Amino acid sequence: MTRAFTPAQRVRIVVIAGIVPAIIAIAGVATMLSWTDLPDPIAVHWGPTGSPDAYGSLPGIAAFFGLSVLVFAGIISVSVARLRASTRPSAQPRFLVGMSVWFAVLLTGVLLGSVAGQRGLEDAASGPSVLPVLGIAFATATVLGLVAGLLAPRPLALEPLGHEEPSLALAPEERAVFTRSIPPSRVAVVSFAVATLLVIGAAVLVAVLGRPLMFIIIGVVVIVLVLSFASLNWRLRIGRDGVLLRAAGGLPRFSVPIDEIAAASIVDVQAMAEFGGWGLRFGTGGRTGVILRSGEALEITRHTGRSLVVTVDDAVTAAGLINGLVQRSHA
Amino acid sequence: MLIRVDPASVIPLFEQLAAAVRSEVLRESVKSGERLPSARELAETLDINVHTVLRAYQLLRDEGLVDLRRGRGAVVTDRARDYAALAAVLPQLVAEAKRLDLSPTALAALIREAY
Repeated sequence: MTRAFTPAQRVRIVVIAGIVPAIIAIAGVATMLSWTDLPDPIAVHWGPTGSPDAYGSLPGIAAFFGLSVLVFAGIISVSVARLRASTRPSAQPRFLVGMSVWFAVLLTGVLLGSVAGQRGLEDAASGPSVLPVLGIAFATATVLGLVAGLLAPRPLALEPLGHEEPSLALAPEERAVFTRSIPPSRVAVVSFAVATLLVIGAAVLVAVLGRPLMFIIIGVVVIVLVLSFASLNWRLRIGRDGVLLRAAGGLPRFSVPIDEIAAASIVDVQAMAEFGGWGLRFGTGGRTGVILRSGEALEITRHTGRSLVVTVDDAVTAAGLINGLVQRSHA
Repeated sequence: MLIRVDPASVIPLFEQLAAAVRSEVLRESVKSGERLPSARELAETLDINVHTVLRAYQLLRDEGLVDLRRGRGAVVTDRARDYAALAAVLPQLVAEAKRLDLSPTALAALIREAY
């Protein structure tokens, strides 16, 4: 197994995506805690007009924000640095490095700016609008995130091994069908579970802090969970009408008629490096992926150049049948 | 699971279908507890009569290879695991038959006689 980054590049990734965000968060929190001229409680939440509508204690809020940044930076730097090399690396790792810095600067900036505006106040309710702080923090975070992403090293691209396109010889009148269920790997299930917990945690927090939006947020959470769950189990069917790939719940589904298919091949897929995770994913170069594990996968290329990548077991048989059907339709 | 049937063959379709499922169980491309495609779906994709598929499934049920339950479809039974030993000898048998230039039909006839 080859890693996508050299040891020196891994150090650079950990510094940019892990250590820099951690320093930003810790420095920001330390600065705020050193201020003695703040009202108590401070304003921690603002209504749509930018005026405060919820209050809390500074150490609690600062600890929560600081920890969020540390956890996020830790997960990103470790997972990007450990990536395996693939033949088709995507821009996703560099995007994630940028995201880590973006998130740290945004969170620290918003907190620092909004708390700074309350210095010297008797009552936090009379504090200034938070909107300018939001704008400045967002702009700074975007610029610094972009710089971080550009500074991040490019992942190593492996030379592709021989392109394997098996083909099954079909008799003129022969009928054939291939069906296979595509269950998720354990890593995929665990990552979905962690993401679910994070989403629920964030929703509960926001619901507690901002009551008017609660129902919208809970609604969004439910939709996200249902969609994630729906794209964990898939079923592939290849027959005379083409390829039908559908999620366990029936939707989403992809249907590719035989006459739209150029060829099917066997590819080796690295879920994180090429598709940035598991489930229904979009990779570079017009690749749509149903990625439930890393390893051997079926790639169905259309005449348009776009392709569908499916991590199905026994991909050799699946590709063989597709190519057999395509070749027979030309005969 | 790959299923191939050829209407041009002299072997009845339901037997071809049952043989295809059996060999997929042998090479463990369907495992015990797994559900086979519904008779209607299979009939539609293979463009054959649904009764032909049902007949094949009934044959496999009589062999104890699948369980047929209303609403649950055809589910591969635990019996599938017992096929491991048979799956191991088959390639040997075929290789030997090929060495002797025996056709598949001739080999099948020999097996039938030995029963």
